[in-house]
Amino acid sequence: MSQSSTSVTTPEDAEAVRGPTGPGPEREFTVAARSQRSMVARRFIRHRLAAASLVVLVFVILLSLVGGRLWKYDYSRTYSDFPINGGPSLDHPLGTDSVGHDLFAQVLRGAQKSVQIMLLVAIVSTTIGIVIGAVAGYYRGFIDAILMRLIDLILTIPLLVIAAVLSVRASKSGSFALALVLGALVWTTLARIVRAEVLSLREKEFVEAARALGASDRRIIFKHLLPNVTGSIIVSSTLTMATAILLETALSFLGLGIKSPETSLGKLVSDGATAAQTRPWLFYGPGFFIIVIVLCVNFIGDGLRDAFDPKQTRVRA
Amino acid sequence: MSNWRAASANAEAILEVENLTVDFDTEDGVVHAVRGVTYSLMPGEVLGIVGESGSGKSVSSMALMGLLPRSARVRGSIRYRGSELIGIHRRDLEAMRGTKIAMIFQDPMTSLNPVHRIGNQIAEALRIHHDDMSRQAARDRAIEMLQLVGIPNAAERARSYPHEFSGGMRQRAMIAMTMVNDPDIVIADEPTTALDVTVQAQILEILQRVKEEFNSSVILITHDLGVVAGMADRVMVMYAGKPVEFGTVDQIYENPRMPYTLGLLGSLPRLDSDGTERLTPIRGAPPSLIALPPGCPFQPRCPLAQPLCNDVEPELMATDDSNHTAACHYSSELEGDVEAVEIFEVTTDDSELIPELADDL
Repeated sequence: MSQSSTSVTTPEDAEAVRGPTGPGPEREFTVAARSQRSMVARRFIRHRLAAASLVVLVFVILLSLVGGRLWKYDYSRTYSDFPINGGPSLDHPLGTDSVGHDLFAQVLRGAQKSVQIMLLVAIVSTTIGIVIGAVAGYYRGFIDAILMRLIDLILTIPLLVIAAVLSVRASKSGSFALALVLGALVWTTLARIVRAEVLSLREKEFVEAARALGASDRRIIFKHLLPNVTGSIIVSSTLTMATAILLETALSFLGLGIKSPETSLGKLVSDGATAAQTRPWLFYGPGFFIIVIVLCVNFIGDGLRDAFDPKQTRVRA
Repeated sequence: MSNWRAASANAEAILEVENLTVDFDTEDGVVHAVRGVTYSLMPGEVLGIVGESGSGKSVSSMALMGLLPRSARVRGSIRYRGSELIGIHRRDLEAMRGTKIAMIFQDPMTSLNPVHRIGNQIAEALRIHHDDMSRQAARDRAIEMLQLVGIPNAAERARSYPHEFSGGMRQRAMIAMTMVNDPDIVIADEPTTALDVTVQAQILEILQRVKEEFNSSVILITHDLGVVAGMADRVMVMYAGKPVEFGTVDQIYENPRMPYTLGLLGSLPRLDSDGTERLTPIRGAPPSLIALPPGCPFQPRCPLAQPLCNDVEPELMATDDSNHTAACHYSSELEGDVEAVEIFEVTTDDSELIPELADDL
């Protein structure tokens, strides 16, 4: 990537000057060589929106993971001394609901669940997507045809419908099972991306060279091919996270996802939807969190895509 | 030149290839890419295989490694230290690759993985065959190998990525990677073709040095006759999927007995000529390997062709020396010091030159 910005530490002619052996005089440029990783990181940071999103998302995630414990009210308890359906106040930043829950405590808890599901879905779908995509692209032929038709099949059925059917069973066994189900459904895009890249990479000479050195298929796939696809994988998985959180929200909104007494952002929005006109804070509070998380994830994905793209020039490293 | 002849007297051949054929099924028909190659390789020997594109030199060597695509049909026999390689299990073949037979590729720009550091790639090559080796030990060995192939500051350069290396350095790294498992046989497939002339000489020198160091045999595939002359002990000239002449470097270069070899040599400028001799091109193009006519495949381009050549394809036959074989019915006509100009017609005409240039000649 961007060879021009990598310092040329060894000019072609220096080799001739030095000859094949011996260190010879030091003739290197003083510009420090940058590793691929630091270059991507630098480009990402220069992408202001993405960098800001990362800060916000990390803050939201930290808040949801530890905030619930630090906040003065418990999300599951109903407090009899709370104002019923109270609007936002200093004591209750997001108000209270009709049975005496503090909504901020509930949103923190809901965000925690949603973030957990999001991360789990990302892990599951990335693993499945990478393996299936790499196997299909590397072996081609019959195996490829079978796996690609499987993807077509999953894509033809509306995601929400399968998710709804599967999650009715899964949601009984908790949010973990729900995340597994969602993860098992959203890997298709990643698998296609990985397959496409592996298809072209497998013809490269370094793969043949690895084979000539005695590397097995598994070693070639995991040590030689996949590291070349890292950029696309990271970008795609990030964007999958946004899909996952929206999917969970939609399912919970429909009453098919997270069930009481557990809560998630989607369930909170759903609970508040009926009162959106009269007590808007019940609806917009959790809704705001969903929007913030999804937007941040999307911006980060965008920033990563630009950072990994050697051809983009808008943001210079 | 190494003393392969002395060695061969008391040592077994390390590799014996017998009647190797490779066919590819294509939509246009069966391509007979290799049509019967037989040779043996002695320990420490450098065998040069020359021929033009499509003569089967690369395919026959890829067959040794078992690296041909599945559509290839490989027949014949390849024996490494007496054990047959054709048809053995893939896992056994994988264990052989790198440790017994290894390969250096033509283009060092693309044969190194762009996302791994050079040192790690060499260490990785080592760890393929040594699961128990620690990362640190493998890395140290990689640095040693880089030093051996003449990379300055090896410890530091091992942390570089391939794109930070020049072409010559990459080919050195490639040689280091190939040799790290101490293979008995190294197949160098046009190792210098993608490089500058000055770097070519360095790479050949390193190849020679590394070969001595590890006591390996080398199969040097090239279309550069100069490279072969400098390094090989014996030379096999291939044409249309078959060896057409086989002998020591001196025999081939000083007294070629196959018109094709003579033509190849005649088409190269020579430093020892007085500069007024014309180069003699071999006219025409190699035949299609799909439907070869029955006779000698070189017959349509051959200045010595007789009616017999149209019907019977000559086998490799011993010339005046039993080590020197040529596939030509009329190889005796080339006995003695025959120059290419005497056989091949000079196709260029001085009258076509710009007058001033012609005057200089």
